[in-house]
Amino acid sequence: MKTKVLVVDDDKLVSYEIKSILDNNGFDVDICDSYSCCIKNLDTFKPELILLDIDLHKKYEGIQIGSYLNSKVNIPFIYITGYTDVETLKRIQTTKPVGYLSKPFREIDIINNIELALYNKKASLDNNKKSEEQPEERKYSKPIKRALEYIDTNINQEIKTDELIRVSGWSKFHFIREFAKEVGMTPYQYIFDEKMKLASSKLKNTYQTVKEIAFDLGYTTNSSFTNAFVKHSGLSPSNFRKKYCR
Amino acid sequence: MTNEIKEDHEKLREVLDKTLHRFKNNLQTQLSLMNIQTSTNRSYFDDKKVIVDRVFALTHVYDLYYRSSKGESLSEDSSVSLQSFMLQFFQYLQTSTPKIDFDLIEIAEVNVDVDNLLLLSYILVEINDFRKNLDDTLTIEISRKDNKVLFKFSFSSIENHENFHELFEDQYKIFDLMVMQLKGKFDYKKKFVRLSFPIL
Repeated sequence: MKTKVLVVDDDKLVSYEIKSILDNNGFDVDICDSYSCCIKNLDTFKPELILLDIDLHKKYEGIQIGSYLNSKVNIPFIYITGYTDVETLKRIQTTKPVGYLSKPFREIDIINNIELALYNKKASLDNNKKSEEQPEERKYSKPIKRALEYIDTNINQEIKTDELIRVSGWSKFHFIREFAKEVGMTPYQYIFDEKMKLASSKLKNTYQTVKEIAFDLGYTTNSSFTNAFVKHSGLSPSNFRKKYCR
Repeated sequence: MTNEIKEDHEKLREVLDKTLHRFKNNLQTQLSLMNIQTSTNRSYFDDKKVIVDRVFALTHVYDLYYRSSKGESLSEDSSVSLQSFMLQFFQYLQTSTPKIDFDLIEIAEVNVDVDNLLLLSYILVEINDFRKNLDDTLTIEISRKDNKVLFKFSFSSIENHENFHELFEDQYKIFDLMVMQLKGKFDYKKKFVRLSFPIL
C-alpha cells in the first residue's frame, strides 16, 4: 500500500510540484491550502506524514498547525520554508517537527527528508513495541494514569477535582495523597502547570488573541487567565508574547 | 546606540529577513515551474528563452523593489508599480521581437505585490511563447477596474478567441496554476482573452 502524504501549502505551484514528485516516487498525495482543510484531512485522508509550509497565508499559520499536530495527534510533519533565521528556527522547534526543508529545494531533498522521517517513525514504533513486550516498572498507578489522561483530554475546559476523583475510583483523601506522591505535586498544581505550558506555547506560536487563548483553556474571564499567567511566568500574556515573539 | 538608531537597525534587519525569505520563495517558484513543465509535458517553442525571460522578470522586479524602497523610510509594504514594471518588461521583450504591441491604460497609481507581479510576468512569458508557436503578433492591454487588474491579450491570426483554451489545451496546466495562485480568472471573448485578478 502507498504511503499517504499530505502537502499543506497555499502556493499552488509549489504544492503541485511536490505532488508530481511524490506521485512519481510512489506516494499517495493529497493537497491542502489552509488550517481548516488540513485538520479535516487528518480524519478523511489519514496521512502518515505531512509536509507543512510555515508561512501559510503569510501569517505563520503553518506553525499553528504544527503546534496542533504536536499536541493532539501523533503524525510526523516536515516544515517547508524559505526562513532560515535563528528566531524562526527556535520558534518552530517548540512544535517538534521531524524535519525541515529549506527553499529552494530539489527532488532529492524532498525524498530524502521523507524517507528519513518515515524510517525514524518506524524505528520509534518498533521501540515502543519492544518496551510493551518488556514492561518496565510502571511510573504511575492505573488510577493516577486515568486521572492524568483525563486532564490531558480536557485541558481546554475547567477541570474539577471531583471529576478526577471519580475517574480514579479512589476516595478523595486517598486520591489527593497518592497523586502528590506519584506526580510530585497536587492535582490543582498539575492542572495549573499544564494549562500555563499550553498557554505559553499558544502565545509563542499562534496568532490567537489572549481572550481566545483564555477561553480555549477553560477560563471564563480574561482577567482570571491574566492573573493566573502572571502568577506562573511573572509576565502578563501580552508582555510574554512581546518578549518571545518577533 | 540611541533608541532611534537601534529601532532603525532592527527595522532594517526585519526588511532584509523578509526580502531574503521572499527571494528564496521566488527562486522556488522558478524551480517549480521547470519541474511542472517536465511533469505536464509542456513543450515550449523556445525553452531557453522562457527560462531567460523568467530570470529577467525576477531581476526587473527586484530592481524596481529596491529602487522604490531606497528613497523612502523603510516600509514593510512589498508592492511595486505595475506601470513601471510593465514598461520595463515590455521594453525588454521587444528587444527580441517587434511583434508585441502593448497599451497601459490608467495604471499609473496601481501597485502590485512583488509575488503577484512575478506571476503576471511569467504568464506574459507563457503567452509570448504561444505567440512564437503561432508565428503571430500579440496585442496586450493592461487596465484597472475597481480593485482588479484587467490583462487583455489577443493574437492577430486567431479570429475567435473563445476557442483559445481548446487551441492550447495540452499546454495549459502551468498557465492555470499561475492564474489560480493570482486568484484570477479568464474570460474568453471573440476578440480577446481577458485575465482579471484582484489587487489590494
